[in-house]
Amino acid sequence: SDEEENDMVSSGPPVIESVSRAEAGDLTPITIGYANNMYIIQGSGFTSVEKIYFNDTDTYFNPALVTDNTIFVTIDQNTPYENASSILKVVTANGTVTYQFVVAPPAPQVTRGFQPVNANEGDQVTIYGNFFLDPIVTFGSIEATIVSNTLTEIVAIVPAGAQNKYLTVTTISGESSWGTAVGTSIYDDNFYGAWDIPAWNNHEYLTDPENAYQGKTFIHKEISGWDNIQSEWIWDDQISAYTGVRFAVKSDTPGTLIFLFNGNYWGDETRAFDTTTEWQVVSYSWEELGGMPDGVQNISFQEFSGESHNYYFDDFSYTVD
Amino acid sequence: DDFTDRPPEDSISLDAYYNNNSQVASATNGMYSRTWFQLCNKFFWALEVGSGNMYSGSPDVAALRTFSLNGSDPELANGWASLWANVAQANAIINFLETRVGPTVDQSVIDNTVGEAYFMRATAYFYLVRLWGPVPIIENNLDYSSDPAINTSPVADIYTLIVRDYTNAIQRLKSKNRGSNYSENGHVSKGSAKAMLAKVYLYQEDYPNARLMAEEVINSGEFKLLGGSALPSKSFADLFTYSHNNNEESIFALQWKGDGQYGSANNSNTQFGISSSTVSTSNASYGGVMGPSQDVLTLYAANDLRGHETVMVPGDVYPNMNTSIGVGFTVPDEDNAQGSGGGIKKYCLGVQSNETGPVDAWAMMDNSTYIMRYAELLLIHAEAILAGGGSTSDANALNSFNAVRQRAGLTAKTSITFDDIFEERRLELCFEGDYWFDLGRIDKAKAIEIMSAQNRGNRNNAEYYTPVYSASDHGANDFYIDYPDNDVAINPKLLDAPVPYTFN
Amino acid sequence: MRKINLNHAYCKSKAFYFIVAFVFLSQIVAGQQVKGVVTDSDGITLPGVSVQEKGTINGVSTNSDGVYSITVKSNATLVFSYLGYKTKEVVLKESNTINVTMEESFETLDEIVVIGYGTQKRSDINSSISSVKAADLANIKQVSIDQMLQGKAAGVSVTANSGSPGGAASIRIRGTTSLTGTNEPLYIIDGVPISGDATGRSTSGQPLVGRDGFSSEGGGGNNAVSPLSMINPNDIESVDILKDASATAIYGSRGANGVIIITTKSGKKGNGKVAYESYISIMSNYKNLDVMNLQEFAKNKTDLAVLYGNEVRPEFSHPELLGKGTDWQDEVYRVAIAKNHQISFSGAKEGVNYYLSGGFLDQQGTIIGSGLKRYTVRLNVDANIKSWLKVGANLTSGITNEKVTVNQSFSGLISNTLLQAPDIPVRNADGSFAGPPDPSQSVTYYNPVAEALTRENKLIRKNFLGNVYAEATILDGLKYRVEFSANTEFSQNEDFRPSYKWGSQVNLTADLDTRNQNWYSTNFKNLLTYDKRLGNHSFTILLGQEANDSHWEGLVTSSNDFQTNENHTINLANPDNNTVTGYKGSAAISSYFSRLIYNFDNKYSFTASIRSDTSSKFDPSSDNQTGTFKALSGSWKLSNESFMESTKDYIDNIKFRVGYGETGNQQIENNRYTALLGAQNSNLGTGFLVSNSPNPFLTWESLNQINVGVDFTLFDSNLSASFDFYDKTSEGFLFQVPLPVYLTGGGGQYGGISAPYSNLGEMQNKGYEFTIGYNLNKDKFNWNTSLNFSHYTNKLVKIQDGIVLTQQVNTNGYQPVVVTNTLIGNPIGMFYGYVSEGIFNDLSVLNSAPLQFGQPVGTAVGETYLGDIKYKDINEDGVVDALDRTLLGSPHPDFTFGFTNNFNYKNFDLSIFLQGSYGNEIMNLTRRAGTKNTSLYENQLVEAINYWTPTNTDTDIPRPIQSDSNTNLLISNRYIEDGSYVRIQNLTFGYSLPQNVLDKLKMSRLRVYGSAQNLYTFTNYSGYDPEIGSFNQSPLLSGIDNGRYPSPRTFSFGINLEF
Ligand SMILES: [Ca+2]
Ligand SMILES: [Ca+2]
Repeated sequence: SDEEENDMVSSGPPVIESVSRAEAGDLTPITIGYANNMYIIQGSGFTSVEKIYFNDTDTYFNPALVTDNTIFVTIDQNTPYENASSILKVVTANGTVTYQFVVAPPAPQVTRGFQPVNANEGDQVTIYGNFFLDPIVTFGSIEATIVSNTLTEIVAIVPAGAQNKYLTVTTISGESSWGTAVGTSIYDDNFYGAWDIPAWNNHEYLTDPENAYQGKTFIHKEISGWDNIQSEWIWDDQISAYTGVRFAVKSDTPGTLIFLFNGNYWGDETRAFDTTTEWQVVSYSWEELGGMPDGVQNISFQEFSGESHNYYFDDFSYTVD
Repeated sequence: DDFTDRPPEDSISLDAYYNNNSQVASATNGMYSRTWFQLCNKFFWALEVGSGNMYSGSPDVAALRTFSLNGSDPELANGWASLWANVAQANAIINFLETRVGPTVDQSVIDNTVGEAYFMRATAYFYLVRLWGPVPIIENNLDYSSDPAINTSPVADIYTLIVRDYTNAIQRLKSKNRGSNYSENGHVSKGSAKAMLAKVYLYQEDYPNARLMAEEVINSGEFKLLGGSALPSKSFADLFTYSHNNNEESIFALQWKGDGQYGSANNSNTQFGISSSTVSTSNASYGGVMGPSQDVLTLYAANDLRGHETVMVPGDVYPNMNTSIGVGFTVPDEDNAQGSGGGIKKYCLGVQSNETGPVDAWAMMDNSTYIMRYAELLLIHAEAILAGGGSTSDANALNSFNAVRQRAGLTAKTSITFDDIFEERRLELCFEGDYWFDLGRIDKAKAIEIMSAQNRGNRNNAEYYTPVYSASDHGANDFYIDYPDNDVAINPKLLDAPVPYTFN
Repeated sequence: MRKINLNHAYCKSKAFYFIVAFVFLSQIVAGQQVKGVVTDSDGITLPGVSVQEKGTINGVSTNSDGVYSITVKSNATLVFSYLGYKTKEVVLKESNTINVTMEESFETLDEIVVIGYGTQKRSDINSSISSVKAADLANIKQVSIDQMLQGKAAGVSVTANSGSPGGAASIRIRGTTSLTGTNEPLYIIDGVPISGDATGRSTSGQPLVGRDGFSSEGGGGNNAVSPLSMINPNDIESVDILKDASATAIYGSRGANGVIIITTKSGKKGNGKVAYESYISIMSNYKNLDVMNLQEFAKNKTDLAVLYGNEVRPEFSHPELLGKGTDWQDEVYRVAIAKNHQISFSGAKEGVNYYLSGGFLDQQGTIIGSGLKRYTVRLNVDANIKSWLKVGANLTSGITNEKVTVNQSFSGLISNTLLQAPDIPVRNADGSFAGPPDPSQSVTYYNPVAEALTRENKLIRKNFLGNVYAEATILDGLKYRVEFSANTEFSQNEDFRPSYKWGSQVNLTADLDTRNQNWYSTNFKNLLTYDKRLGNHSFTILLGQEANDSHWEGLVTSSNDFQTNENHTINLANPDNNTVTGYKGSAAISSYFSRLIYNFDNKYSFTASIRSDTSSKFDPSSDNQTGTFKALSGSWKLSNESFMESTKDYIDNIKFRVGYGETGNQQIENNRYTALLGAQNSNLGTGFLVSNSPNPFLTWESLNQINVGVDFTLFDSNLSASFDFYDKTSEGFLFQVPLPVYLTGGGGQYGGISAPYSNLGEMQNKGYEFTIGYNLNKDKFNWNTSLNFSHYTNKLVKIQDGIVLTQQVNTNGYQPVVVTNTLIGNPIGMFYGYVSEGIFNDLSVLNSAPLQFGQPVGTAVGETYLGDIKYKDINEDGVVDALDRTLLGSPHPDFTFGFTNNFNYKNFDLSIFLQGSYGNEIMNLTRRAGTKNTSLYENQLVEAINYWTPTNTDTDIPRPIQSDSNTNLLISNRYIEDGSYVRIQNLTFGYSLPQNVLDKLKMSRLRVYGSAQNLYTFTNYSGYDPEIGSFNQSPLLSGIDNGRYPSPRTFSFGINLEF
């Protein structure tokens, strides 16, 4: 009794008339699809379907979701999109049909920003991320020249007019931007200017691309309860273009810190914020820091959970509008 | 006549056994496994769901998650039955063994067996009193066969019974030294009874006696921490492997043995672990009935060696564990067990392999379940010295406390508070069925604060519940459990005020 | 002649001296000697015909050649009588040789009834006995005799517990008598006693298949196997059902549930006869439940996902583009074929009669992969070795090979078939079995087709049953019979589950469970019967002794981790995981009994019996082992009174009967009188735990019954009728004392100490039943019809305080629900739960209604809102909670009936048999499972789509809630349905070749027929089949449809040949 009743209506070789995204509403024929998404193939002669291929990948389909005129199928998550045939092939007992159909990569993801953040016009920056297939890199609206790229790294040249602009990577599948603008960094994988954290803090710099928030390197210190990590005192008054400061932070187990700005807020529990095991970006506008300061002198943190935790910091920068 | 006299052929008549030393010595073997099964199959772990260490959406074990457990719950009834099964079997030995032994049986063998029975009865009552509060005291089941409707006894009387029973056990049980021949470590000893009694004294806040008992155990050298200074070649991770059943640290552990009958082995490997769309750690077609709570997923510091052995957090790697996809896996970032997003590692051995020991038809295994191990005794010792004070820097307390911490790879402390010990107990004993009782013995306002702040949902939905404490109303008190409906129907006196017990 | 008796050793016994003297005396007061041969209408000589000088006590019987010789007064009248033949009177004339031809009697009153350790003419019976003859059963094509009795006898209720071939049926004779013991009758097959208890409670208590026992709470399902499926129904000559205790008391401790005596065929006098029958049956489910197809499913689940706030599934975004999806019922159920061949050789010659038969049945189940094959042989021989000595044997062997299907279980195949989603294919394109792609979609336990086709659950049974006897006529009328019988069975169950990956459902390593059981029982009997007639006085005295001995033992293994799915003997499994357990035991009953039947002038009759049974179930050092069971009954044949002479023209016969009898029940586990130590393993080695509390005072469960009846025939016996009224009370149920768990630790199963058994409680069944038959003979047309009707009321009268008799079944795998309760003053096994008062449609009603289960008003899970079921506050305490559960309905029918009609016209025959039940209710848990609306992945009945919404309020399906524990799903009267039905159980049409054609073919019979079984059912029940039966024969779990294997409709075509 495995024979389906609708075998009766089965016809000749398969014909594909259209492919559309499986979603409610009117079906719009498309020619580009994404892995892990479901599509409806419409046509005829599908009843005896044996195989479906996207980009020559043998793709599982559910026979219960097949009629003579329709196939519901999900593009396999491991379907290649690089150097691929862009052919959809349906094989039935009565023949084979092919159909031009592009499997696009997933939308690009800029995962660890770019390095260095404070690059000048003509400098090369390296962008870290994923799904960089045929990318376009722009700073603001200005397109950059790409020197080389793999699916996970792009080397691009900073064009003129990029200062204080945000970087965006675009592919046919979408776009992804990074939250630190060119030239705004205080610390990316290195300190800029006179900024530093004195060694007596007993902190360390971890170069661990897997776990960095940005670039490859970040700061680690096990801070005992109520203890702190302190930067040098300096004076930076070239801050008129900026709206505030931000940084990324996490801890090994949930912790609590106070952001000490220019030596203020020590022990002020209203300023305490929680950290988790995941990186989070914390930003303060000048207003939140008591109004536009004359200069930025010191950026430090006080442990405020009362327990010892391992804290990690990365990607200190100024914010721009 | 003879024709219609058909004595049993697949069991033994009570009066025809206990003829020689080995028969008497084996009389208690079954009380290390089957009598505890109905407790340890599910209900023991349902208590971990109640304490906020575990999460489960499975209705058979999840009622305490929302503090909605009531007397109709089948697993509650199973837990109750299991503890009374131990009382009944212990009573049979305490009351009848000595009059039935053959003439060649040595008194020392009788003593040890009867001592084990006292130990089991005390242990069962210790659970009963902590779970239900007032319960009937039954020293001989046959006394009540024709008049089963008896009153409960006050909690204090039950503690009196427990102390008497452990004291009787201490007098009768053999002394031991837990060596590397693990097969000799299974039965409880004088030291086991002292260790349990230390805990009982602690619950009664009788700190001097608790300390005395704990120190007798420590000074005897009977037990050692795996991975502690006396056994540096072992580790915390070894504690929960099949090959380390009855190791040097084990004070009292249940001795499972799959024998083809349902209810003979340990179901934890399936109840715990992971059964996600990509990987399963159980031989059963299901798994991960309980998962870690959201709290526990982030409970352990990165350098705490216990974390990896207690809870499976996405990204954790278990290179040696056998699974449905072969040996070794990385915990996927999926719903895993019950939507918790992680899995319980402790007592999870993985799909059967050389390391796991055998698996029975229900995918149960033979790894022992700890009722107490030496690490806990050390923490009891520290707490007994603290004796309810604010903090202590007593070297003996610190020695015991830091031995547990250092075995876990953590730095020693120089001064400890009750909260330090309380937290260390949770870290050390997480998923071993004790945190519910720890929460039950501290100040209720504090316990309620802790429990109501726990995220008792899964990784997709945070949920918070607040337990109710009522000293006057047993039924409304979430820190005590309802009496099973069926027993209340037979004996409504269970709901009456307890009546003081007259000891013989 | 009988002179030989004078020299016979037994005559030296003083005990019989006076009888001998009597016989001697009667012979010497002689005048004329008469002799002759008695034959039947075919000229075949008849042995054992009684020849009596009318009005005297002088009489003889014919010898093995049908020859008699008697000395009588001149002009005497000789009365020839023989069971089954019309009595003939001949007045002596001159001749000293009188040859007589006896005519067969078709009158029911002359039929022979087997009454237990003897026979009687129907007209002489004082108690209530129903008889079913081979001819009544011939058209019914069933695997085993128990199911064939359905509707055939008044007071006998038969329900098939499963439609699977070989599944057990439940037979209740006059209601239910025991609370926890078995209610199945005792079967006596050619003198061999066999308990009808398919669960073997009083022997091993172990199932033949499965590893979870018979519990309704586990996953084992309805796995009891009929103890009678080893007997080939074709070999059965007659079935006599002893219903009231005045009849069954002679079986004493085993007679409480009635006794069914089955007599198999023997050779008939004459030339050897060869009979062959073959038929082929085509079986199919006559009804599919209306579950959603894929298009309906897609729309419904999308709607629910939106309602629940879950993501919608893209594959369901355009239901109109989908097909119908997988129709799991179509995939799992099939048109099944059964083939049956029977051949028998029989005859009787020179004092030897024989019956030799062979049967082969190959029956597929209507569920793919299930089926039963059976091979049976039988040899029945009786031989008159000497004129005074007769020996005989009945030997039979049956082998069955069964592919078992689990049914009536939450994880059973039937439930899975209904709930499996239509978007899951049976197989993938590559031919492999499919399953849900993600574990969260795993709502049923497996792909039922894959399960049915890959799981090998086989049961092989080999049964040998035999009975040998010798019967000596010591004196005229005095017979001694010794009988030895044995019954043994070897059964082998292998349940192999291969490793698989069906979608996300994985069985990592293959598992094998095996069960090997063997048991045997022997039965030894000595019977002394004395038949005598003295003028108007006739009496039969029976003295007997019987010993019954049973032994059983079993081996249960479990193993897993096989290297392949191909070969799977235990040695190929991982030896670390092999576990083995076993059991063994025996039981015995020793009995003495006696019976006197006295008849005066064929008007007044009186029967008294007494039996003493000693059972090993009770303390051997006490008196409790022995029970005494007495019975008294009498009848008055009003029609034989002289003042009734004038009515003889229309009333042939009228008889009043009254009887009282006592029986017992001892079917409990062994050794409950003493405390036992059960072996218990642990990692420390084997130890022993006390498993039970003893009760040395334990004794019989007893049953007393009064029966009053009347039989009459009218119009030349063409109309016959029989009415019976009974009142039976069972007392002192063998019952486990309901001690609280704090004293038992939950019982021996999990290490506690089981409460003692005791004799507690009282239950009453009252009822009446009648049978009316009518015969019409006109030329070549013949019609006979029979209607039987039964009614009983059952009531629990007394039980110990505090006992909780609620019963649970498992509905989702880990949380059993209470479905029945048994309360004093009510029938047992009543459905139990909440009363629904409809759906909340009005906020003001909702807000003022009693708070339900502590749930506040609101829409979330755990809150009550519009669209939810409004439950009745039964105890009116202002809240709805567990105390508001009440009795919801009864599985007991108001009445049941069977209606048989046989028509013959020339060579055509037609029979139609209707059977039905009225007034019983069914708890339809299949409908509950099919209308839950709790899951996005589980299929449901189409009616589930009509759930409550704010705009669809006129419905009985509550609002969907995504939780299986939501209160709308509580057991309530919502799931109770009327279970009344009338079924055309059988319709058969046959044609026999006329005699002149047969003669040319040298045949005596050639008939072809077609029949339909279970042809049509008139019922309002919405499930598959209103005939539910009991879960593993449990009296407290009747009428609960939790996915029962439906009984199929069967069309058969066959041929009968005789030559
Ligand atoms: Ca960095
Ligand atoms: Ca109420």
